[in-house]
Amino acid sequence: MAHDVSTLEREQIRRQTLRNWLLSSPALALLIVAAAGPLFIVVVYSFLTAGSYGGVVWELSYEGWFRVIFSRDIFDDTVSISTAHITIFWRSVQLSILTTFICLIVGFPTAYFIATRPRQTRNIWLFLITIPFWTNLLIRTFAILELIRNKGVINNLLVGLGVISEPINMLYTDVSILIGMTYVYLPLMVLPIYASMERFDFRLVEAGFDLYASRLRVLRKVIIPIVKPGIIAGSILVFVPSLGAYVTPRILGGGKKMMIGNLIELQFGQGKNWPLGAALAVTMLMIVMVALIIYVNVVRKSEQKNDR
Amino acid sequence: MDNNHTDTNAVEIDKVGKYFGTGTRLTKALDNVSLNIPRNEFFTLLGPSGCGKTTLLRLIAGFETPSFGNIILSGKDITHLPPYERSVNTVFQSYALFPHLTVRENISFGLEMLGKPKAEIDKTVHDMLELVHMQDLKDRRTDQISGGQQQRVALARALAPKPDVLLLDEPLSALDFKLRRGMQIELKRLQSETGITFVFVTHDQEEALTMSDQIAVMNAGKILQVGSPNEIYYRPKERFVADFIGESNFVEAAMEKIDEKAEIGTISFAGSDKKFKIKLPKNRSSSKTATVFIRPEHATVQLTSKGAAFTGKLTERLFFGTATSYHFELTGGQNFVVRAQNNSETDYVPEIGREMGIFLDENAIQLLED
Repeated sequence: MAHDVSTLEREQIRRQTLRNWLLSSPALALLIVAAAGPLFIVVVYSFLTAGSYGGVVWELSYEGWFRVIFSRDIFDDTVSISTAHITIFWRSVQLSILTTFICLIVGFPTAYFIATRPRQTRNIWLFLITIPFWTNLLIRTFAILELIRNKGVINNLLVGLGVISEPINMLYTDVSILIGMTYVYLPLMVLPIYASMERFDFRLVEAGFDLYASRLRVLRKVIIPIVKPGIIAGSILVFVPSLGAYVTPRILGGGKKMMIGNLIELQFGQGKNWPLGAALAVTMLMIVMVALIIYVNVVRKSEQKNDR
Repeated sequence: MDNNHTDTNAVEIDKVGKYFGTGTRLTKALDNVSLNIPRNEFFTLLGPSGCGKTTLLRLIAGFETPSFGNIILSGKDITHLPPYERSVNTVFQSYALFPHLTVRENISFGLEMLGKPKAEIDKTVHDMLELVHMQDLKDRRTDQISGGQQQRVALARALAPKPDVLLLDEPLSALDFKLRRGMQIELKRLQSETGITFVFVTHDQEEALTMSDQIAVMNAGKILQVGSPNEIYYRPKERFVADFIGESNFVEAAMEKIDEKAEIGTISFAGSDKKFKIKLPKNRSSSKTATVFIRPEHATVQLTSKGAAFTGKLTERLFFGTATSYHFELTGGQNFVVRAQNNSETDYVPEIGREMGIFLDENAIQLLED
């Protein structure tokens, strides 16, 4: 008797599993077509030969990957390390880390501020944080350009006030890219931290004070460990798009200070070297992955250290 | 202040007032409160919600600063010290255990913040785990243990740094009845074992009576009476105190004669010529009538009205097992409750509507202050 029931149950479970798969199939199909598919094409293209006028010739070649790090002299084919590419990679990683860091420094207190407002006013603050999203990225970036260029608002104001005699050259430097990226990606840091902080029980702060922890120690030993998931999410959300940023370095870096995104675009455009562009895109993906693995490990290690 | 400070007090509250809000929305939480909490006592702040007892506790903890007045801890003015510089720990109503730390780490938190050496921390934590019987669960996270266990961790965490004063903010209110009884005994034991002054906040009068060495009854931001559970129960000074603690009867009586020198008055009740001599309180109005207070268990009932303080018609009879409550409507129209202990001879059950005599001992009658 019991045997019959279990067969019946097994059949029910089988049907349920099938139904679950069927129900999720549209989403799965979309994921395969829209996410995995293009990535697969990019990987394939990186191993093909560049066509003379863009596009690819279906012929296996490692030239694209080779050129990611090395360059060949046009005349005598001598191989040397491509310092231009290395510089761009390094600048991208550096600026992305700095952007993430500055966003964290600015975003954490902002999220804390919003989370400690009365419930009714929190939505107003969140609304203000998300307003920039309503405007096109290009327009926002040009607004930043207007602010920081030599004859821009900031320099005019400082010169007008007599603080400086000559305008400070901020545009088309790493700093201008940094300012732009911090501005653009800051909400991506504030929102996840706020989400963690909103669930944070602020009575724990009192408990910390009560147990002889000063303000700084309450922050370090109580608040930060508990809202850490939000900090991690925010950091990833800022770091990843920063690394692939294209519009901001293009406008505020003026083509002189390129980042990986611009380099990739160059290969698909003027450079007419699609395999190199594809290889660079995959390289960037790997940098992101390596960075995330390092980051997660560092976080885990600091957790173990805290546990003594 | 300095001259009336004594070493026997753990906490002295000196004319402290606390207002919340500003301008027209200013609300008074504490109204010029003065209170001495003796060392090594189980001291209870008792009152209805919103009476200011939690505010007073938060002022001692340092989470709030008084609008005026001073708070003295072990002879030292701590009015403006931040909470982390006061040798005071709190057991929070919500427990407020750190969710990212284990039971053991929660208990060691305060000691680590004080910068105690590791060996001492380990020893104290071990002792504390033993004290609250949590050795087996020391590596659990706080969300993996039951409410009663969380309660014990909260206690151990607050006791571990050996504070001068332990503040307990209705710590038992989240527990079910049986667990609560167990914790009441546990708390009492912890207090006597550690010798730390406990300041316990509750709105549960029964809890206050069973656990406290002294009780301060509060209402509307004021302390009405401070005394032992016995004093508070048997000799309440005000109607509010009498009413808040246990069941009470308030009866109008006629003031017949006053002996100012001996501070004794003679009273009688409507519908009876029996006279009672009672002690007069200090603050007394000079009116010819007075409200007296009588505990339900201090009166007895009989079928005869001969020699009774007053007579009444039985309106309700409530059986509690160990005792029975008899509700009467007195001849004057007032209500009166008598609570009688049941014993093996309680076999007669008076029927509803019956006229009965209510008998009183002189000691059972108390005149309230105005």
